[in-house]
Amino acid sequence: MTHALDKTYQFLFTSSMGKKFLLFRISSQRLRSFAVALILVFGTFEPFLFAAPAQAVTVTGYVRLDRIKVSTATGGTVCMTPSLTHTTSNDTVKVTFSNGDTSTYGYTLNTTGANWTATTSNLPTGASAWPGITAATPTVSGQTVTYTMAASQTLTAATQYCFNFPSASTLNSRATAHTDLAGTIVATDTTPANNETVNWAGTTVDGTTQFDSVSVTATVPSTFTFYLSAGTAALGTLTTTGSPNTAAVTLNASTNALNGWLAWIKNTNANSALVSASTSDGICVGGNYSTCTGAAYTTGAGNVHSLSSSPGYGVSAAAGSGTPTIATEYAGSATTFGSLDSTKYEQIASKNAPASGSTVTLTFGAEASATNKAATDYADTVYVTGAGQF
Amino acid sequence: MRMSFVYLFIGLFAYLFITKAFAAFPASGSYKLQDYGFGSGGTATSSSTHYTTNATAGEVEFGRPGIGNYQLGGGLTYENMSNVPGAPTLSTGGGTFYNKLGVTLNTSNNPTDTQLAVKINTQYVQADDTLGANPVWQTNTLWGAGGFTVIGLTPGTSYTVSVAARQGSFTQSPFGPSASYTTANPQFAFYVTPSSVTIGQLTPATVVTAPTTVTVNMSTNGTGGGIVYVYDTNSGLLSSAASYTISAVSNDLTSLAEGYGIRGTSTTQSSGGPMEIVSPYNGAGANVGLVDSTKRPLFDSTAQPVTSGQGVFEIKAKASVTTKAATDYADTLTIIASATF
Repeated sequence: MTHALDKTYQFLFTSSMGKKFLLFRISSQRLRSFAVALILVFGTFEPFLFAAPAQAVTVTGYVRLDRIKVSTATGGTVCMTPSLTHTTSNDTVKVTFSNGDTSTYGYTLNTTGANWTATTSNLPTGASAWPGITAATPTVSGQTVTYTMAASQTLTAATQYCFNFPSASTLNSRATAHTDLAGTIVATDTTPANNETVNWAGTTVDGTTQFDSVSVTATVPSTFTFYLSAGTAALGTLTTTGSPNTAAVTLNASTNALNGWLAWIKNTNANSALVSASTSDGICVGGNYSTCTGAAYTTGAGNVHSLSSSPGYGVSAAAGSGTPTIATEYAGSATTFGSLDSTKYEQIASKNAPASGSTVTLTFGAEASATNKAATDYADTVYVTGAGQF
Repeated sequence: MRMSFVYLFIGLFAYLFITKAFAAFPASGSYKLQDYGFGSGGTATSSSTHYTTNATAGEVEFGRPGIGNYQLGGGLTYENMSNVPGAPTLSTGGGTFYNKLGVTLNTSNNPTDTQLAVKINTQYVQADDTLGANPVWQTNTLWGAGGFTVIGLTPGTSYTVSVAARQGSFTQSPFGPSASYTTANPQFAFYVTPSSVTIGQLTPATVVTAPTTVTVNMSTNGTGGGIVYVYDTNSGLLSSAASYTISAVSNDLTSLAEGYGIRGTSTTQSSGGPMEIVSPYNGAGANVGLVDSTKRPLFDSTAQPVTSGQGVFEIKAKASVTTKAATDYADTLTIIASATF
């Protein structure tokens, strides 16, 4: 499409004989478009066509001290990224620390060179161990520690090399805080013109208004949770032969007590008996209520009785979640049960570490004797309690 | 007749004198001017691979050397010299540069193909922006029309910068007026406040944030900026009484039964930088970063010098229902920093 005001340009070639040839013809609109396109293309590639002059790489580095509080011994980490490649020619590393005002601020150096022996563990991410530094011999002169390589090393330009010096009997900060404590790191070369120097600066804080550490404290409060899953255990109609009737409740315990928790059990009726108030009879080991021969609580495994086809009443404990420990006196089964003590709480289970949701199954079991009086009100009240061992 | 011989003798003598006197063109041990002549006056230039002459003679004005706006005056032979560059503009980073110096050349209306040499004290800026013994001539475009940075300077040293210009042979100007700057010394300041933080009671199964945050302050003119590191003594919160440690983690505490860590919350600076929080301490909410015996980067100034840079972090912990109860859970965070110069 041609605009009415467009002009058309012809580009001609004139030969040596004076003859003219038409090279190409273009409208002014297309010429403008071509010019714009040319500018865009030039703008895109200009940075590559006329690259800025290359600037030399500068040597960089730092000294990171482990502590910056005044009057504190400290180790540190020395790092340098050389600008040149030193091929088998890095012969020493010299680290100079500020002498400050020589008395109140700045650093003091232990003059025993061996104390400054370098290590290369736990270097900053991305850093390489300074070649040969761990075998280098450190010496101290004035404010400068010089690590002399056993043999000249190769350093590659633009690679960060680091090493550590220990805190024991090496560097101490003086008593007054100060900023801008300037020093140098020099990697010398067998060709002195290739020595590389980095300026660095440290700082110290007074430990009174400005600090380099934070003391963090916290308290974990004591916790203890303890409960039974049910308040009743109905044994139903008791048999006189075979397996005893049983009913279970679950003991639950949680605590962050350092030494865990303890649970105890105690009942109401003497001689571990189920007593009928209406008949004044009782169901107990021995079958001769209220004498109840052998029914009384006793320590040890002897407290556990078999109630298979044998009269009696008791409780058996079994470990559930959290692997609690069951007291021997109540380590029964589906047919064996421990006698309860009405005179005092007896330990039934425990755990010696903090626990979350420990459970113990308490199974009550009873078997009547053939002579127990018929009644529907045989009963006992059992108390279970617990505590955390903090 | 006698007079004729006299005139002949005088003429012969004059011929011999003239040919002797004017035929012996100027010569040195290696070079000799073979010929010369007189034309109609004006300007003559001649070049070979190694030498160029620019001669003007006479007072004929149409032959005077010149460009569009300027032309040598008639009569005397003027020196055809580039404009003397004005004093360069120096960029000093607000007076913080300690090993470098920004320089923007003043071309003083010299043509764009004019070459410039930059003198600093007794040395010259090289093409790679270091200092060297010999001048390097480049156009302002090659030096960097927007300015360039001279590197490899010595801290605490006064530097005087001046520039000379030339455009072709026999046109070099003297070094012009100068600008000066005394490099700063390496600067580094750093401290932390406060020195203690009480988290308080760690209600089990609850992420607890210490009511007090910790602020680190850093300023440096190090060209590589500064990095703040953190490490601790216990790799967690240790209760000596309970012989138990709530271990430090890099994780979201809400998803863990227990844990301990720190989280950067904000950064500021008055200039430079900017300061930034380094991963894994840059999480949100209850995402915390690990602290242990390794010196881990916590904040940095994005590899740039920074003034009054600040980073703030908070301390978080979570106890589980089985975390041993004790009142002496503690840790010591040590925060250090270094600046790359």
